[in-house]
Amino acid sequence: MEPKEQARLEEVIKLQNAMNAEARNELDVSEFEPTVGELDLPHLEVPPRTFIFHTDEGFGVNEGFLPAEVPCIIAAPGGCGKTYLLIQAAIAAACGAQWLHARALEPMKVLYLAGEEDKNEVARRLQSVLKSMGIFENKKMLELVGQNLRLFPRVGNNERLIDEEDNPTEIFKKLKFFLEKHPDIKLVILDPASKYMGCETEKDSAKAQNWVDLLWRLSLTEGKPSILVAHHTRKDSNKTTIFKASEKDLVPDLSMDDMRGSGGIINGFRWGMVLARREYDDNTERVFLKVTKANYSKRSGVLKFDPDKNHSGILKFSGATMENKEPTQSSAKMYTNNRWTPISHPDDDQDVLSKTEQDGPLNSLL
Amino acid sequence: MKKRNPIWSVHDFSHAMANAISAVASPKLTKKADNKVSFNGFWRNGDKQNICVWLDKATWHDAKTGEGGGCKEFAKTAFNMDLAEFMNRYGALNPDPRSTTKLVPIVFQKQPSLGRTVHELWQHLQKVEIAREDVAGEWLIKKRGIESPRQVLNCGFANLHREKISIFDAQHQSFITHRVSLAPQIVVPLRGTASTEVKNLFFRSIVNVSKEEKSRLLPNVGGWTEPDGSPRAFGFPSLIKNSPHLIVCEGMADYFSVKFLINGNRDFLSIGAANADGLSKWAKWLVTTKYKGRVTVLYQIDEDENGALNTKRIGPKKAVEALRYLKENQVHAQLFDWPFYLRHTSSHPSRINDIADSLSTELTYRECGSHHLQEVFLLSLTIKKGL
Repeated sequence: MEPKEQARLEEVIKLQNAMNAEARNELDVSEFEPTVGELDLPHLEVPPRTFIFHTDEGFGVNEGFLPAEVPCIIAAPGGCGKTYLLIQAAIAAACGAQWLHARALEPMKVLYLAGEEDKNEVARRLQSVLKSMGIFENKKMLELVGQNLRLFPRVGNNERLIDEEDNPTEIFKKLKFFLEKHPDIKLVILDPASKYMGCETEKDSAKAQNWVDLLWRLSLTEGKPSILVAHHTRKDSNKTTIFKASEKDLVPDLSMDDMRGSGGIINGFRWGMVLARREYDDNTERVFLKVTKANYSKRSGVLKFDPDKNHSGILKFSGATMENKEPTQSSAKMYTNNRWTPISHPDDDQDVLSKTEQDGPLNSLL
Repeated sequence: MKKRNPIWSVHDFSHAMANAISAVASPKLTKKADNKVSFNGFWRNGDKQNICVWLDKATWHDAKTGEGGGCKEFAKTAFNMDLAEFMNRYGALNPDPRSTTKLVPIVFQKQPSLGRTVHELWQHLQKVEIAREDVAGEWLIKKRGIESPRQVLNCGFANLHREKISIFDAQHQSFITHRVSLAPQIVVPLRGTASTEVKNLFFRSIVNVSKEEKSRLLPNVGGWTEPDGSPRAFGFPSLIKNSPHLIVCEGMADYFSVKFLINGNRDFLSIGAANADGLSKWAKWLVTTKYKGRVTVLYQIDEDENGALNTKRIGPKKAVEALRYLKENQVHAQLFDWPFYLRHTSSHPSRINDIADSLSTELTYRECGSHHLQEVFLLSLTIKKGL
């Protein structure tokens, strides 16, 4: 039976239970009645978990990176490049390209609401990212982006999804209806989270939970899209610090606790990633990422990326490291020139290959 | 070139309206006082005196629906005719557009009657059924998915051919003429609880017409209620007391579908109530008469404006009312097990809002065959209860 028809059947079951309860002048408690056996959970055919982006683990094995069908959060200090990074994610998902050290295995429909940008800025950033990703040179990829990505400036609008009484707002209802109408949309990006929160969401854990529940309702629409929101960390002051170039491999301590606001925000998401950007006294920069919450995929160590100055600052993966340890050499792979190639230092190719054979590259690092 | 209407006077309109009322409205419910005539909303099977026509102004008002206006609106609402058609039928013969003659006082007289009871009319309709094209039967087979309707429905339906107009009393002839002119009609009998005698006839258009014109009962012979207050229904309500398991459903289409699905099984009796509200009325009657068998309430899965299901919609709401009343009064009762039935008969449950839809959906998708539908239907009535 089609999922839509299955959903209808479940609705009829609920209706019948509610009617029977009403006829007996009782509350409808049927939702708690069935046992695991009655629900046939042990034998239920469960589809494999899906992901928006995957990392290549070698030997044709892909590991899920950003999970599909759930609300996800990325947090970074202000001015760290979240919007730029998320536009990259949107484009990569839309045309099946690489994002960070991962890749969308197939093109998908994406909706991006840019809450802090006007039309010109959205276009400026889109063009910059398209250029840096080399999409302009690839007609097919550019076409896919054109067909699959919806990117809207939302600055100046009241975008709150939840009102002061914790009720869904008109914009939430529209967004939910739109996603129901377009179940082929698999990734929704709301940037920044604060623009889509209620007034007290960041301060009040219960209200935060209500807001995350609304994001879940979006994820539970027919197409089951991932809802990726961009949030701020508490470490905004980091951006003013200049680090010594010799300390480039010292990794910052990144955790979900860095995320701004109440614990309710962190708890409700199934996947969370924290970013930090450091400037060094040799005029270079490095971006550190860490998947700090991953209910359905592996948590990562700290992933290091260096902005590629020759390509508008697009982040190039330069290795991963466990925290509080000496950095290990990278044997992760990058997707370049239509194939996955190991990322390695010029003099350690042999080591990387042998390590890959022993452990599997990212397994040993993440 | 568009033909222009003659210029009628207010008196012409009043005259036509009065004629139309006297031809169609229930004489029992029609009262004239000075220039005001009160009567029942015969076009919506109304059985209360809540329509008023003011003959001095040729205006009218329906206290129930709030509708009203002049002669044109009356013609449209009550007869689905345009003004010219209405005036031609009910206005004075050869009307002179400039006529200023005084309106002849209208006297409401009983129409000459052929003296046939509704039951006799029904028998007559069935007699002339033979050797004519069975449009209604074909419709039931091809559009509603009811195989061999002449057998499974015990000839509980008839066609309404134009030549049958003459068998009806004069008071009904304009009504019947109008129904025949609208579209081909299927005629289905209504019976009461006291006997198998047919008490009224239900006329339903079998091609698309406006919702308001889709179906009507024969006027002036009582609607869905007997004079003693007991309900009428499609089927044989007089057999209820001897039936161990009664299925109460809504309307003609569901009644026919259930008849088809129980396939002559004598353990079950089905009746078709007027509508969702009729489910509650039947529940009250069953309690009053201390029915000892089991009742299955077969409701329609009504959706709200967003397509969602809830217990506040009319079908589920009235079914709950009926079920609660039956249970509170110790009548064994249950809702039809829609989840079980849908799960085992169709992969398109979203297309099924009532039991008639189940047959038409099967007709479209050919998923499991009518025998399977019949088996699962009977299981849906009994399986959980071990009956």
